[in-house]
Amino acid sequence: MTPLLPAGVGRLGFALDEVAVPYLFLFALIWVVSGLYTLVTTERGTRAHVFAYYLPSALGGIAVATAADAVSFYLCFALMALPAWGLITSSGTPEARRAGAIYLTLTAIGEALLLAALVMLATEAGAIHLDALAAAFGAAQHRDLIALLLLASIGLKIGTLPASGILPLSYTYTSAGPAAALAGASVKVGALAMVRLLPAGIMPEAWAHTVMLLGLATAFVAAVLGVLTTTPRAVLGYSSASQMGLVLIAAGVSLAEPSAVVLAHGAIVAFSLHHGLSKAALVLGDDVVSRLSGRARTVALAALVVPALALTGAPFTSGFVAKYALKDAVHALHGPVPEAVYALLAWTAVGTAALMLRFLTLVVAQPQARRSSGPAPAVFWGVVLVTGALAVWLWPAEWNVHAAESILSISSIWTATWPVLVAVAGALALRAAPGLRSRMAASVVPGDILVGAAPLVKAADRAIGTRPAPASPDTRKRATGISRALTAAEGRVVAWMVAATVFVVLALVFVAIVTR
Amino acid sequence: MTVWLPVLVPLVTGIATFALGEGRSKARAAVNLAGAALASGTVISLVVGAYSGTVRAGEVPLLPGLPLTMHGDLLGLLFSAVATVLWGVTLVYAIGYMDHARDRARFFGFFAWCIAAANGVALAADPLSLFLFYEILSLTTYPLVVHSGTPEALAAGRKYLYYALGGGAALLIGVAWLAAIAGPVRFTPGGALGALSGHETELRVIFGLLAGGFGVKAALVPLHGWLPGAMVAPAPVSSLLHAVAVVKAGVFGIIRLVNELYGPELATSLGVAQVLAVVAAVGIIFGSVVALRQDDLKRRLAYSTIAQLSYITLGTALCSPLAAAGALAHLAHHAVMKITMFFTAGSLAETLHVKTLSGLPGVARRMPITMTSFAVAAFALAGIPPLAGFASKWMLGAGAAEGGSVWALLVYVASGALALGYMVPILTASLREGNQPARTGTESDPRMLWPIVIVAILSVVFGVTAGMPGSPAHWAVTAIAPSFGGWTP
Repeated sequence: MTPLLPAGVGRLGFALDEVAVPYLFLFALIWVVSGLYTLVTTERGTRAHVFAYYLPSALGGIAVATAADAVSFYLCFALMALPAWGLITSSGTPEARRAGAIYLTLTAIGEALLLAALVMLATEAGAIHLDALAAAFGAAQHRDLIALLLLASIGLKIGTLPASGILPLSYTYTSAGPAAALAGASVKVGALAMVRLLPAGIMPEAWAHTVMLLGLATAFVAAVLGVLTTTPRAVLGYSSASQMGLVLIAAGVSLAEPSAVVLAHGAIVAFSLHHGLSKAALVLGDDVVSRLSGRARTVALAALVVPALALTGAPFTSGFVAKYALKDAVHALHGPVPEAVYALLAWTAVGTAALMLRFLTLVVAQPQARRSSGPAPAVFWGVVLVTGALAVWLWPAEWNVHAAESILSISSIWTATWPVLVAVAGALALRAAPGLRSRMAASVVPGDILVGAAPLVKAADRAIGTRPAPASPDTRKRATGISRALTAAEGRVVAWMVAATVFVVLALVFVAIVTR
Repeated sequence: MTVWLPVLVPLVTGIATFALGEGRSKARAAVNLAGAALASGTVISLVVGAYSGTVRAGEVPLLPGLPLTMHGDLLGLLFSAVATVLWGVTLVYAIGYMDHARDRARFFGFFAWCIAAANGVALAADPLSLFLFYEILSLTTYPLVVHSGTPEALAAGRKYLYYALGGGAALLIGVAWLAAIAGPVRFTPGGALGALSGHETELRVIFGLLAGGFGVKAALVPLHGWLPGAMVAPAPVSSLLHAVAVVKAGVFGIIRLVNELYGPELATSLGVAQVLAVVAAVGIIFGSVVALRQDDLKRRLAYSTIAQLSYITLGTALCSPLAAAGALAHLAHHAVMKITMFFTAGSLAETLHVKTLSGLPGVARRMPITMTSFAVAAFALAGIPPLAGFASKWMLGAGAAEGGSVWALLVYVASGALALGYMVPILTASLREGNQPARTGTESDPRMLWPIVIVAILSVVFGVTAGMPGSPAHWAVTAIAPSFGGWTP
């Protein structure tokens, strides 16, 4: 039986368990520091506007870590995701508004999928507590459908193929502070959902393999797309999609093999902490660098290399720990697919390194646009930077032990270093061919196929719609004419249909009554 | 006697309004508000009684062998309470809205009679009595739809009348036919026709006639044509049509029909419930998709109503207890959410002459309280927790899943996403920079402002308290339980 929102939605459940603690740490730190960064970098006049969206988003984004039942999880998820629209569109440009519309559409779809999954699980479980939902998964009648709904919803959140464009779209037009929160915290709710909601160790092996391959494909494709874009923020967006592809591999590991669940969940948490903090540091750092000049700028650029290296998983960085945890998790599975994924994992670091090189080149090339606003932005950035470099190493958990043990072995240092060298070599080779480089750059618009799909949707809407298209006067007249004719026709058809039906029915009934 | 009061009080209020005439607007306002307060009081006392197990009933002879019967059960009282309480709120709004309009006596008089008829529909204890009040409701609504007297309004009114009378005809035949094969029947939780056998085909046709008759007011696609047209009526009438009484009488009829006339078991075994469910699902998707494309604010809301009413019909037709309770709860929840929206649309039209989405830029800055209330209702409608729409959608969806109709759950969540799709553009458009006339004093007439705030707060309260005794959701569960053999969630 299904609980009927016991005592209303008023009795929302929140709890601190071992999953909640690292995520609460991550989300709270990033939303608060990014908020302070936003506060000092936003002009007085627009502050109220930005924070009207930022604060509800932050509230949902922090509370979601501790949500303990389906309703509170869904509430926090919605509270975080919907106001983010205002952060994306705050510049008011047409591109930003289009990005906001695409973001909101995909978010609405993702929310709907999540709700469907939660309702079905709660029905199976007869309870709404997340532990009960997880326990009910094994015997669930519609297990596969629920898992599919959850994976699709999470995929839309974390930019899994073919929706990778959602992340660059939501970062590109947002100002630095909110963008850091979206990149560092908001996307990681997808990772939290993997740990909290996805079925653990009970799905058929084919599911695990499919999800792992999808994650791997996302990691590679998003890296290629990102290298071809032209703004630092778009590169970071595709980099997030690529990195979350790696997290999806860990989620795939957790699906089928019960003995690998702990390792896989550890890898997801490690990756969330590492990538959340590093990505927030990169987003903020890009903005800090653009505010500085002279030696301070050089120092800041040098500091920006630290999180960039961390993403590639270079030795002594937080990424080294996360990669190790991921490799351990994949290694726990046997068979051709996991082994192939394991072998290709190292190569994803080449893609990441290429992305980071592209990012750093773009940041260096960026002119100093904005005037300095005192030392505060750099200080807040420093907090994220330092926490990001240390937290993953110092966190009391199982998932960083192996990395700490292997950090001084030559072979593991080499494994973590060669992808960076390959990417650097590739970049140097590309330098020799400036024509090719300039043709390749800008061949991808942030949002790729999503932006491509938007005009199609509009065209379809215009073709059947009753709203006149704001196009040339000529098309407008035609569209209005068609829509007017359609509207009139609908009215007439419905009226006649009803009248005719009523008459036929009346006639039949009277015949029936008379001949009884 | 008490059970007649929810009908008699508005009836007398209407008579008094006509007797006072056009000029004495203060006295008219006082009489109407007093009538609404008194009627709400009697409904609440009936509810308190019904919760503790005393169901009041009454009957008067109408024709030989055909008494007019009434009973104050929880199911009917939920609809009655919605109509009566929102009547009071709408009155305050309408007094402000109609401040300079003509023919106000006619307006308020027929409004009161509509409420009397709606309460009759709610509390009628047998199909014939329900039919009578249902027809009276059609006739008393007509003068309100054509109130402005413009050719457009007259055309809309004609359309409404054709649909309503067509539906009434179908209903009459259904009721008469049923009486011919089953004799006098009363609404009974779980079904009143259990003893009939060998009449399966006739029962199917009768179900079709009754559902079609109620479906006209419930705006079941393809019987919905009158509803978008009727939006030319003044805003208080739109809220009466969409939220308070008229469309709700249609879906309430379907709820009685499925749960208390045929009963969930018979409706399922005859196969008629499944057909109704499919029709309703089509209506949900159709209404939501068409709403996406409307520039006219009230038209957009009208198509949203078509979708939301089909929520209720689908929940009822699924014949699963939790979904049926969710449907009944949504009757109340949708009422407060949609009335907020129509009040807002009326305020915008009256204060700023904004009637379309393209005219919205600048509105949020100019009328912040109104638009905030609208936003609350919009998110409630889209099913964002902890607002009212989420509570009913959760019940409907969980009920669908429990009854094995996963497809219906997917329809519900899809339409939730579509609801965001047609509601959010209203909000974003109003947030854009735009030129609106500067404000003088409050953002709009206070008599139009506060009712909006109150109904928006109700959209929050109904959601947050869902599950507590007395909340619409809990009430709906209690009221629907007898139809499923005393089921408890």
